[in-house]
Amino acid sequence: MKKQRYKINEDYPIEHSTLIVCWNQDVGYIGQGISEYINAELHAYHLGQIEPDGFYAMDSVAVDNNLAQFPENRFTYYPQGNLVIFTGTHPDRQWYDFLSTILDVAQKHCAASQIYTTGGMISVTGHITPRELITVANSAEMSYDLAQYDPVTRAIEYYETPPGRRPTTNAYLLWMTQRRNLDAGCLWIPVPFYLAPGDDPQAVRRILDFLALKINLKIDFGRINDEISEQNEKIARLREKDMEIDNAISALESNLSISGNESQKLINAIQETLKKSDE
Amino acid sequence: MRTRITKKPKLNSPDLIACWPGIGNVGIIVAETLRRQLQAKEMGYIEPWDFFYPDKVTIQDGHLISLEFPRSNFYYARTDKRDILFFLADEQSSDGYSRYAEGTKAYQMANMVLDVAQKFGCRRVYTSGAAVTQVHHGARSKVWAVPNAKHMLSEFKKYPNTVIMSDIEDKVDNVRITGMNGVMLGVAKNRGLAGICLMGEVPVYLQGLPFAYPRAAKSVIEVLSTILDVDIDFTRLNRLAARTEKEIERLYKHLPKATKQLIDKLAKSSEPADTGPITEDDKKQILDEIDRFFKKESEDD
Repeated sequence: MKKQRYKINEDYPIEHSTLIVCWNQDVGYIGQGISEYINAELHAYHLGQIEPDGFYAMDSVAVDNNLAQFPENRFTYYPQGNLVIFTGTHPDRQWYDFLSTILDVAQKHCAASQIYTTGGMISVTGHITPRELITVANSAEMSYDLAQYDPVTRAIEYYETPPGRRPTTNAYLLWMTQRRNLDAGCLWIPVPFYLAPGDDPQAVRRILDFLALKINLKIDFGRINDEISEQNEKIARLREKDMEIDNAISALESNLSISGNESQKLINAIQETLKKSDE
Repeated sequence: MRTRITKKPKLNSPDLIACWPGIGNVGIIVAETLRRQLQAKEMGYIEPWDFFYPDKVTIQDGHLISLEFPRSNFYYARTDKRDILFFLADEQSSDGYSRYAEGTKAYQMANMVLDVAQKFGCRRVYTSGAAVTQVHHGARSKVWAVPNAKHMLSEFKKYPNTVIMSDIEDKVDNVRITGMNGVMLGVAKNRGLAGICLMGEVPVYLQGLPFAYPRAAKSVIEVLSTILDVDIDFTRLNRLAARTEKEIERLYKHLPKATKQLIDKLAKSSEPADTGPITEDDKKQILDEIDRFFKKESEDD
């Protein structure tokens, strides 16, 4: 008999829900940002988790943000908005089984009618540039549906994985939802490359905006707005102090390119500034 | 985890040629050349998603059009003398991100391939890959034959340009055939099915390079076409080999004189031997220089 690869708390029978898939260690920590913010805003119930056995090498632990990590794959239920969030760690083996497990839980225990995956894509733009929400749906109808909810949404016109690269886990999951006839879409937000190693609250806010509209989520954006302002102010102060950094960001804001060296300096300076003030 | 057989041809005790990518892409060139020239027809596949991560997504007008996986297909060909089954995969099967076979996934795939082969009455399995050794790139690659049963040793001794392990100095013990080519041979043995791995020699200093080594594949095809009694046109393969040799010569020209001298030592040695004319330190020096060359090239790009 095939062993069940997840544990579910049966105390919360769900009749209808939207599932949001968020990944840990994502570009700009978007997945983590979304789940943590919603968790703090709404009543949350631990619904269950996927057992890590078989999905990870289990030969070491990763250290991220100074902390030892362990693969975590949990489902959290928020009765308000009939929302379920899956917060997970990308598996490093048995990808098909892993993604099947997410969808099994979505169908059997969450009665999910729609599934959204979230992610950041590294972009060569400035942080003040308004963020587009870039969408990929699993059907033409779903693509049309996504466009109705947000005027700044842009659907990807054409994309093919370049040679030597691999599709993302989100694309893989989207394909699997197609095979199961579930409505689903990927929500991508461009993240300026110099914010990518740390938090990008503006990107998180952009996805929260969409979710508030799409599934009528009542959340207070006050805290995240403060986080965005605070981050922008720190960067603005750094620009005032450091001409080189200011020139690099100005170039990006004017759609001009900067060199590899300048990019690296920018990443280091921004991350150092943001980390220092976080400590 | 399923196999989909889309055609069920009646085959007469076919031989199976099963190949996966590896060093110098020897196995895949061998199987692809034979498959094309014998006009083999596709007859099914192993569902790839249990074994491989997808390799291409296509998105159009805002929605996902397709997701493609590495190939893991079966083909069949009928020749005047015998029937042949082919299995070709674009990647080795492993439990994680390893490029080479590893763990239960490799074992499962080998069994699934053999299940199909035996269903069609297969009696013998051929795999192919690279034998990394101290040979010069100007030399004709010998073919190392490793069968999985004693009774086949005498047969393989009689093919031209073919050696068995005991013919090679220091190669009697402690030899491993890595990757799916090896796993397949072992799994076949476990089922009492005859299996042979034919490995074309690849110069030790080219093992990590990003190009194919058709010269080794050609040697393997020469042996296989004799065994299978089929005529093969080598025009395309010779062209491919000439192109690769040009690339190797271009690389050779850029190496320091001392490294060139070490490689030249190999040209003078005609015996297949892993403990040949250059030492482990020499080998390391050559590989480091080649590595430096490629690093410099990519920086210049």
